[in-house]
Amino acid sequence: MQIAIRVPAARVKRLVVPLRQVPVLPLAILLLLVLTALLAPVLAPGSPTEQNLGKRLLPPAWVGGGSWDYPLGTDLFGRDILSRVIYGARISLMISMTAIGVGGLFGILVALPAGYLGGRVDMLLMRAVDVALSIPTILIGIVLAVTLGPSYEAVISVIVLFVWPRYARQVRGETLAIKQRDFIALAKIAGSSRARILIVHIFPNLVPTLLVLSSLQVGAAIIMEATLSFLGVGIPPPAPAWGVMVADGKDLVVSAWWVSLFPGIAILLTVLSLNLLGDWLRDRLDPKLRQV
Amino acid sequence: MGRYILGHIVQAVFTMWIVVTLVFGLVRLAGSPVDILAGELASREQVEALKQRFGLDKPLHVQYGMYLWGILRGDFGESVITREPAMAEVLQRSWASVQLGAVAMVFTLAMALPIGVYAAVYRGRRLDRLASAFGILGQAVPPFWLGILLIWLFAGQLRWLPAAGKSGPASFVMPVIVISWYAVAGIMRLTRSTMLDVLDSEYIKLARIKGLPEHSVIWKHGLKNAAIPVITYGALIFVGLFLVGSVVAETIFTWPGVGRLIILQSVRFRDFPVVQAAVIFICFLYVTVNLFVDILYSYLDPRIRRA
Repeated sequence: MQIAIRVPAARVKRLVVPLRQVPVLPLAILLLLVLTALLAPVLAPGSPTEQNLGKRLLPPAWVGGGSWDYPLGTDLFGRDILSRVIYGARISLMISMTAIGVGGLFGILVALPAGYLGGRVDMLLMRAVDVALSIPTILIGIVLAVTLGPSYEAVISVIVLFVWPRYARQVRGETLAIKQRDFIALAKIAGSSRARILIVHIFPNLVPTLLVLSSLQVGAAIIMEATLSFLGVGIPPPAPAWGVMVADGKDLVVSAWWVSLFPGIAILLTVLSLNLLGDWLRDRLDPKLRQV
Repeated sequence: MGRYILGHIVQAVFTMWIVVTLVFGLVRLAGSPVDILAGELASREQVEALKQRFGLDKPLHVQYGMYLWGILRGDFGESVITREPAMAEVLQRSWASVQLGAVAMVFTLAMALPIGVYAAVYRGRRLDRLASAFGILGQAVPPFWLGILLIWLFAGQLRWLPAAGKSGPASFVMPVIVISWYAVAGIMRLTRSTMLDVLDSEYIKLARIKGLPEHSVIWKHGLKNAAIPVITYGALIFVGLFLVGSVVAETIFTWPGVGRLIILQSVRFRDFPVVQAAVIFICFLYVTVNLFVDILYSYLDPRIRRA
């Protein structure tokens, strides 16, 4: 009788505890962010770029002089800040996901075979990674902006340049460890080709590491894009990138604090959520990464 | 040891070469290099002189050779705006940047090391929890935004500090916070985790058994052994963060340094020769510091020193 009661209780507990440990708030914020980006035209009360010079620098609605037509106020050109923050989510996500996708894929494609084959190929790769890690990417971003002009592609290229060696180093290290394991030797004995071993046996074992690394790198990519845009060498100005918006309010902060405040909060919440999620994933999936 | 150092010097030179070549390639990719090197206001004679000087009417490999030779001699052309040598413009401003960077470095170490050590010693107590909360929150706050909030608070509301420019010691406060922000959080976390490992080791137990006073155990025996990863890995985090931080802080607070020069000249004036000189100058500093850290590491770690 007692046993019959205890068993379901334990089972329920097993289910409940992981649920409680899930970082609900960061996940909710990220979900909200993705939805905001997808549904921006529906959610935004107005246009992100339309100027209305008669309504310049209106404060947020709850401050004296504000109106609910512009809940978070307007900027120097009378553009609605809420709409700009909402559309900004699109730019932030699109740039960071594309850059992480391209950079991560390149890092994996280079490091997976190199780590598995070892020898001279591997040595060459590690040299390239060391060099790539010691190039100050932000300066390359500035040069790119001056020579070819600031553009989405330029920002993505700079982040790719920043990200790929980090993926390559991580993937190579993991591959070295995995290829020593028994099941790889068994696969070889069973006659699997190199390609099959890499794709079917090694790659799936890298997925936890890649998940952890990506969640942390997306945050870094968002900050990087925002920093470049803030400096004027990232996303070109009329576009509502969060970094551009913070820069718009730079010289007005003493009189019109809301212009810079809200896009900054958007960056803060996004990156904080990604970092918390990344930390949680790391503790769950890959305790070895804890020192990184 | 000698081979180790030589290997790193070769790598540093190679990195510089990659950066310099990348810059060359980007200018040529942009179409007409004359327009970029001369600026929009250049007269016909100036354009002709530039073509002569950089061999722009010659084949690409000759141009590349002349470009490398120019860089080796420190010749980066003239500023499009002032017609002064580009490198001179950069060097003029470097002192202000170095001053700011040095103060920020001292500040970072003075904050991060003690807090990291105390957080490890009093693990799980309030100070530790406060420090790790700062570590997590701090890494999500973009420094450029922090700088603007600081201006709002200290220059706008409280009127304690000047919002811009380089004047007395007070003008250093906000830029230093912005530059150090990430580095303090990163090095603090690093110090804490290394100290935790060290405090758990046999020789610390021995030092305690010998009856050494606690402060000597922690600061002399503990921190000394935790210092190697903190200095080397920490320095690597440092250099990158300081670089971005300086450009950002100098731009926000209109600090008369190299970082602001780059942004001002590139965004507002498209003064490419000066931007190029500044970028290569900073890259050189960056790569040199990294090299120095690698050599320091080999010196501190007996496993490499004796190899």
